[in-house]
Amino acid sequence: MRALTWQGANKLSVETIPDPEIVNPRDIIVKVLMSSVCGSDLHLLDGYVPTMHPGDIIGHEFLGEVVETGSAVTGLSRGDRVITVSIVGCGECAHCQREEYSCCDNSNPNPTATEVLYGQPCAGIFGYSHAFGGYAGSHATYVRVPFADVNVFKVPEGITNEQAVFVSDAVPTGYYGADIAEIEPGDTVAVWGCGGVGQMAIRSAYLMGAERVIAIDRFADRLHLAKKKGGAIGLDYTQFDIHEALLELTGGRGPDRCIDCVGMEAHTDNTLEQVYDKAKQQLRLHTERGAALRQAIYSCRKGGNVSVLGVYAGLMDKFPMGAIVNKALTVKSGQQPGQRYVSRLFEHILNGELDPSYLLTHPMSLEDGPQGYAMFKEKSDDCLRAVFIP
Amino acid sequence: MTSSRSESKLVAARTTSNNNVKGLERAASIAGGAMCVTQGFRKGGFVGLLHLVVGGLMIQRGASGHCSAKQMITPNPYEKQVAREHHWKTAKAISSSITINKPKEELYRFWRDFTNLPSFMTHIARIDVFGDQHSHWVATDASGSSVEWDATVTEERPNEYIAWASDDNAQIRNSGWVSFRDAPNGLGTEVQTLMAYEPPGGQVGHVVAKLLQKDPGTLARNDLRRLKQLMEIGELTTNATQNKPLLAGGL
Repeated sequence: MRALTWQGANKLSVETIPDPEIVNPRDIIVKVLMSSVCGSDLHLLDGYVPTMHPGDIIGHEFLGEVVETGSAVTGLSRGDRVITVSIVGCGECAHCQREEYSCCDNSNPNPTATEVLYGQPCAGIFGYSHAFGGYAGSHATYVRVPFADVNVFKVPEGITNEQAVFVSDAVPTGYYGADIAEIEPGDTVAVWGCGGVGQMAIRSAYLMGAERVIAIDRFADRLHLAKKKGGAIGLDYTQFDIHEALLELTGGRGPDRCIDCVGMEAHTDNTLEQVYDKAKQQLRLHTERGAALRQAIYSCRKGGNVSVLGVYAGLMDKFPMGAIVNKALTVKSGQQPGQRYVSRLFEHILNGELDPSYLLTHPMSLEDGPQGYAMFKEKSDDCLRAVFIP
Repeated sequence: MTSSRSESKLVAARTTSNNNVKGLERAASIAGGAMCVTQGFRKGGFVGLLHLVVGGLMIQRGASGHCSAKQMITPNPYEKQVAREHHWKTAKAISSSITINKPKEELYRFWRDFTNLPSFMTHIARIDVFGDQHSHWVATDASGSSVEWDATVTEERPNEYIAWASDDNAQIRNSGWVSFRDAPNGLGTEVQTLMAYEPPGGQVGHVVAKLLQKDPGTLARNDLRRLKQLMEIGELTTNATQNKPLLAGGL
């Protein structure tokens, strides 16, 4: 089969490699119909996530067709149109049984790296470095999916491929961010970052009763979509002092709930902060450029919630602990436990309350994978998401 | 082996005695380090650089009063106790603990049939069981060479505790126990294990072994993780995409 592989920092190539096989009884093989790029891949590409090996297949957000099922798989059969949640759950450990699938104890076959880094081993993720399991990703003709009964969902009639593919990751991530922000009716929610996840967080915040969502980015096309599709107020942080603007929009209180959809390669208009963070990151003195998260914590109203969806890998300097303590903030975070939400999300789509298909701005052939990522990274041609069709 | 041991949750966890270099040794370390550094500056070149590094480490060891190499070869109180009880020269003990989402009766039953242990213990190739109390263990190391011994169950409490020890003629004298306790809030069972052995070359031999292969603590933890996978999900997690033997892509 053909697959888009990581070969080194900012080096991708499409290679021919052996087709995957059923290995364990609960496995299935999916023929990939659509596989999306994701902002989190950019951290792999840029070399900020360790334990990537040359030849690793990336990609974790995909829709496809079941072509083979393991002996213990029930409820799925050849020809089913399915999506797979990006974060792998086993379904049987205490976390999975409490629907905390992204905290799964068993799905990472290489537990030692995250155990050393974070104190406990973390769940496996498709195409996301060996520390997160070393699972082959979905930018390929076929992908092996373990624990299919837990991680794979049939796409209902009436939902298009373009809508469904993002229910793998971008939609449940945004939805989870809004969920853990504990939004109450009447709340003002601020969302940092208007990529795919941010767009979905905006929509989800409204679904959960937010009165107003304020979207923060610097790219005109993304702010335009946040306004037009998401119904948000857009703020370009290169034009406004975000803290002042947020206070002005909220009667001086600050937003009730803040959602960080940016992560460890945040860009800021504050030159000093940007230079400081980037220099330390490149010297490997810390791994995160945390401008967006710092700003979210700074602007959040007293007693409010900050939900962190952006990817952070290690340590951050200048973390504003004082603001968290003295403003009595609640900070919540996590990888998405999408298995908990998929059927609810499909319902929202069928009811016309949610339509993620506009994220797909650039359908491309898998063979054009490296160009797709270059375009996505540079955000050229208003690229929100490139999606590969093998 | 006394049963009281299994009641204590903290047994062989590494101690962090920060000051294990004291008195004269500490002063000597600083003085020796300083001499080494001076020599390094005089010699120059690669050999000089080596002197600088070694001297620097010695000064640091003396100044901080802590030496991690020494900590590695110093048995902790529990290891001293095990060595005393078994009449071994010295003992190395590795403890590990995991919570498994299954009732303790089921886990006890699985473990008590020692022929099941090789399915999750990396270095145990085979165990033959003779009667209720006796077994023959075959272990292989990373290089593929094997060690065998006979073992006897020394104590057991159904659904709670099993202890065993190698017979006196064992090539590497060793012992172990496993305990099963209900975890709080319906989380299943807390499984704790302890494996102890008399390091073939004394404690120094253990350190050499540690340098040559994976850290035994990590190995023990990953063994328990495989047990958890077998008991909870009935298969071993793998990222393999080709149908090769299971352990290839796993822990």
